[in-house]
Amino acid sequence: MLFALRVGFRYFRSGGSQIILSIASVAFGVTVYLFITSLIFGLQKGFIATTVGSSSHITVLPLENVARILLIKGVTNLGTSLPFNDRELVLRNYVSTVAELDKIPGLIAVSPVSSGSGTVIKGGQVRTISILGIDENRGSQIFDLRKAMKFGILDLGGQGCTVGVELARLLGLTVGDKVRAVSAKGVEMVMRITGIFKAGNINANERSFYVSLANGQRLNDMVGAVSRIETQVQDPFVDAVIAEVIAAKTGLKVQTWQEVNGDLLSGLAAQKQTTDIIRLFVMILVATSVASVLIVSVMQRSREIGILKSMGASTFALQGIFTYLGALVGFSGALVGTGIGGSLILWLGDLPGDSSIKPGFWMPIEMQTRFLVEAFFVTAGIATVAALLPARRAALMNPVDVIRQG
Amino acid sequence: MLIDLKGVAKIYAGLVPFRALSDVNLQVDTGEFAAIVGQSGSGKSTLLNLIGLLDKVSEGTYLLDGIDVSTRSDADLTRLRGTKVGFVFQFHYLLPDFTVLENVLMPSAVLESRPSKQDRSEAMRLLERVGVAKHAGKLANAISGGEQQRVAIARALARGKPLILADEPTGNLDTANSDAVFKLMREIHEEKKTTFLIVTHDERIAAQCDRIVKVTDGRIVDDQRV
Ligand SMILES: Nc1ncnc2c1ncn2[C@@H]1O[C@H](COP(=O)(O)OP(=O)(O)O)[C@@H](O)[C@H]1O
Ligand SMILES: [Mg+2]
Repeated sequence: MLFALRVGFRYFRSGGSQIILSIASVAFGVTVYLFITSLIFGLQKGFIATTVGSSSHITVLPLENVARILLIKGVTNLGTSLPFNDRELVLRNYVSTVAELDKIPGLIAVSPVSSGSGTVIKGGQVRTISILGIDENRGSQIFDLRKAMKFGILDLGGQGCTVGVELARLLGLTVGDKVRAVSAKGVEMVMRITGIFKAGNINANERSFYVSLANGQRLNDMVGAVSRIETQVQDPFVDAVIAEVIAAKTGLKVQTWQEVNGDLLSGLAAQKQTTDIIRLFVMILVATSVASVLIVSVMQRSREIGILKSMGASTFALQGIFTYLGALVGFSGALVGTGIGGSLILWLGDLPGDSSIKPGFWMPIEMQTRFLVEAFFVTAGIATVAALLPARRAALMNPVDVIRQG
Repeated sequence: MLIDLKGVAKIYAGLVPFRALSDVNLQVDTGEFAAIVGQSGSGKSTLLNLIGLLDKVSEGTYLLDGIDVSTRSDADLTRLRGTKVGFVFQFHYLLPDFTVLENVLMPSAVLESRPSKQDRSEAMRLLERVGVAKHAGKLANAISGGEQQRVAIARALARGKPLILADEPTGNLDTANSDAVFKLMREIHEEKKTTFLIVTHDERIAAQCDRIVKVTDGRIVDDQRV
């Protein structure tokens, strides 16, 4: 096929403005493809980082009481009853469960949490809070409190506690202040503010009241137990398997972030579909552009095709010439597109502006090497495929016809 | 015998099938230099295309160099054409994106992808022979019409093809160039004993051939050796 490649390459080189235009439109297609892919990726990553990134991916919870079938001698089924439980559901053997979770590969963070509601009192003001007892280090692996700290430091030892900026603002709290925390269970403790954090989510900034795990257990009246164990996995989109492993190993109830964030997920899925449709249209644009330049080229060169056939060029070779031509257009367009288009998109993404998703930047663009690779090969491949049909037409031309017309 | 047509007919398919050739019997020996004459539309090109394996006979048998072409596959015929037959048309049909030399090397490239050293020196010799060696490096569309037709002849001769089929090779040229191109073919024939079949309606040219085959309404009506 060297012959076909050489002729195809020559046609490519001497194709002039026609070829340049089609390369440009392929490059443009690649650019749009990259742009939309990077933008949606950035958007989704931003959303996920703010919503999922700093919360539990897979949460281990106490088993709920199971409905039991009421059985009376002689009668099989009188209906079901949901036993009333007067005790709050907690994880009592959490220490061994945490130890077990620590051994599961794929889990990058494991943090037992004692949570309960309560109020915080400062002077004459009262605010509802969520009392969260955590282990400083383990908890920070889920939500990086140290990084989120605006004032003070993360120090939950002794009476130490940390609150969000919103709560601090509402109560006029500063680092070093003492506050009174009263849990819903009626336990009261005086705590000292050691740090004030800013989370990505307003609710956390206003309600979260972090204390040490021991203080949390005391306040929430669950000494020796926790409410749940939070975990994180490497890739939040592939945690279903690990969730099953956890459920099997612990025998406890397991809840994934997807179950909790159904709305967010369907929104992301809809966004992804939109992206796919745009990408499909872009690929159709690329294919039509390459196909049309080839159809024109085949028509213009019909005499040459005829004479090559009269010289003994095979159908295969002729098909090769124009397929190579299409592939060359595709690959050059893809190269220009990933090069120039890619840089353009990176530059756009670095433009200063006001994006809540990517603070300080105009657009939450996130380019990935794999997008470049994908855009390059998908486009080049589609261009080559689009060339096949016109090339086939060239190959099947009857030399007698084209030469007679000449 | 190089060409042996027996009872050949060519019928073009179509809404109304058209009988372009009927009962053609033609034998041509290696080394002949023959003209095919006849009015426009009489079937000269059709005959030449059959001989050159560009088209297939509808009736009768055709042996090229002893090979019954009706028994061969399309791919075989393509290869056979590439090794045995050189074409010269009224229009030169050089590939404009390639140089003169590359055009002459094209038949080698088609057959073996990369022309050998011998192919190159042969091509240069041919270009010298047809008098356009000095333009070898130019693009094919950058030389004059007469020169282009000479290059087309050199291309047809490349790889020592035994049979040259020329369909009104001088039809597009002025008298001076026509004479020069014809003289060139004649000389090459003397040197190499290549078989030439030349379709022409130029009587002056026909008169200088060794044999004149006259076609009228798809039939050979006259076949004279001079
Ligand atoms: N592909 C074709 N389909 C139908 N008719 C054709 C075709 N090619 C040639 N003909 C007809 O066959 C006859 C002979 O054509 P041709 O061999 O080209 O004549 P010449 O070369 O002698 O001028 C003409 O009447 C022409 O119209
Ligand atoms: Mg004709």
